[in-house]
Amino acid sequence: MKIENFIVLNLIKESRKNKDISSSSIIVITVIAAGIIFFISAVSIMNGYIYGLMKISFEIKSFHVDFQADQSIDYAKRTVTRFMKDDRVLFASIYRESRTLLSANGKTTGVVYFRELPEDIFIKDTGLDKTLKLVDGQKSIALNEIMLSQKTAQKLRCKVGDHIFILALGEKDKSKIKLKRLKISGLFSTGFVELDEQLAYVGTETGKTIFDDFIKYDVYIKLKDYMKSTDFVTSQMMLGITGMSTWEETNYNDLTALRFERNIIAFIVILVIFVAILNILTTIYITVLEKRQDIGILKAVGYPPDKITLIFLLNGIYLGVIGIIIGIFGGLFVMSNLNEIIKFFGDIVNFLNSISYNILSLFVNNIEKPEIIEIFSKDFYLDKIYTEISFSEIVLVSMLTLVFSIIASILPAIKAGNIKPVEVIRNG
Amino acid sequence: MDNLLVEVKLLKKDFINNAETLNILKGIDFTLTKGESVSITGESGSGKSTFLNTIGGLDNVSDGSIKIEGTEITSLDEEELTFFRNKRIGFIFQSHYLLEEFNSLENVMIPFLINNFNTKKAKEKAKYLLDIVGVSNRMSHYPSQLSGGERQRVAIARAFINDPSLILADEPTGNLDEKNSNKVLELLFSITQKEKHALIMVTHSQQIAKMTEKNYHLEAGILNLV
Repeated sequence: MKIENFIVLNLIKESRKNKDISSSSIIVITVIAAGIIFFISAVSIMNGYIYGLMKISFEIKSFHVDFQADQSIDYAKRTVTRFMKDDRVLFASIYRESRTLLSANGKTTGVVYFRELPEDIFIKDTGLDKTLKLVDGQKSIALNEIMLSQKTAQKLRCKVGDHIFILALGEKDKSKIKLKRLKISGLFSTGFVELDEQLAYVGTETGKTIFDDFIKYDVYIKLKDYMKSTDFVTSQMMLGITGMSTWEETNYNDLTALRFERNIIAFIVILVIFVAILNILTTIYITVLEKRQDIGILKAVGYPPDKITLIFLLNGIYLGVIGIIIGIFGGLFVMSNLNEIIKFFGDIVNFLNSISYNILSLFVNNIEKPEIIEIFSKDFYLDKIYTEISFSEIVLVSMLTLVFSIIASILPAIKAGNIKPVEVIRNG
Repeated sequence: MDNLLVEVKLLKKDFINNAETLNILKGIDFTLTKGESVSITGESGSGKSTFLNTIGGLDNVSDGSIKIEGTEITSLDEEELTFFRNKRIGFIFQSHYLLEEFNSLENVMIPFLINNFNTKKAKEKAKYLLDIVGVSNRMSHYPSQLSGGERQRVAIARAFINDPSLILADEPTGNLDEKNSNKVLELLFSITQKEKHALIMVTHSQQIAKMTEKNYHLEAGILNLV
């Protein structure tokens, strides 16, 4: 292999031109690296979105384990006390919820999780407190107060201190409806606007006046290790406690949809990488044609055909490996600085817009000033792009790329091995 | 005959072109002893280079036998043949045929490295040969940075790196001017004689042909001793 390495590295380097690397090699490496960067970015962003959404969901929506106590408040409280004694449990609390219509200023919107929680919940459940970022007002759910998401408040065109009407629907008996007027104490945001819109909070005292007739108490549980939620539920079932569901069960539909989306994106990016690999095939094929004479000479001086094949196979493998390594480092760099990079490009676009406006306004009157583009504006789906790098997926796609590189190199490499030295010498 | 290096018997080579068979070599018999130098002359298209290529195992034969140091090379497969060429035969072509991506030293080293990746030894030997052919000051130069004469001298050094028993030279000075041509020939003969390599040289020039011990003429597919 040493002589093959020696020859192939000179071919890649194009040393006769005093280059560190040939132009065709640069193109192949760049395309492969770009494919890997796209893959890492796409999958990491999707993973980040899924995990980010899940983390927030653990704190404010599905929790780790949900126990439908479906009993009196005393039973629910006793259950909470028992769960809190369990070493695996980080926090547990009672809560009630229903779907509710909110109305103010002639506008109406619905929330899926209109929740009643103990008034001191933001002190006790630090996870919930951290996740619900206060945008305006205060984190208070005293009697007749409600906390809304910023997005919901925008929809209802109201602000902190305003009053809204809520129309709560019965959980099982939909004919039961409760109407109540509440004051907005604070506006929150989690970063995931779609989730924010589904939530609104009131305290226990307020809840009593709304839910008492028709909504039973539930208990939510946050574990020290969310991955052990199934084990926890199983152990409780052994004790005869039923009606528990894990975060995986609660979020099953969302998770399945998101994973499907992620896999589709990954598949599309793999197709991009496949195109990059076709580039290897073309490049090596062209190299074989260009190096026909060299191949003939090597064979004439005693270089065996299988080793000629090996040289061009190595050529493809080296280009693939270099592309993969650059792609991985490039992808990790992009992912660790994604928000800054996007902001940077946003700034460039705004700068160019501003220059264009200034130039055009010299020649055209009453031209409309361009709006500042905010990639992470408050109206956008996310307040920033969450990323989660999956090293196992990076390893998988790298291996796949390497295999593709080898496959792409085989055909031109065999062609190289079959070149007859006498034809090269005869034809010059 | 212990001293026999090359023994060719009834060598035939046909080319099929558009359903027409051209008999280039028509049953040639030829022998060469160790350390002997012979030249082959003939008109263009007479089959001189084809004859040389068949002896060197670069081209297959239509019929007949070629034995080099007792090995029947027509029965060797491609891999055995390349190994055989590497060890026993040194080629010098009309065009230098150096590898453009490698400098002079590396070009000379390559045939040595193919079956024995000892870079230190290969370097020592390549340097020695480049010194003999007078281009030791051009070791790190690439073929594109050398003159025609220098390239051919590097090609000569490459042909000798594995101490082959047989040197096959196909118009080695065909692309050179008279001055360079004389220098290259002088080198070629001095090395072959000094190291006792046998030489088969194809040439158009009667003057060059006279420099070898024997001169054969190839005409109408038949080889005759002049």
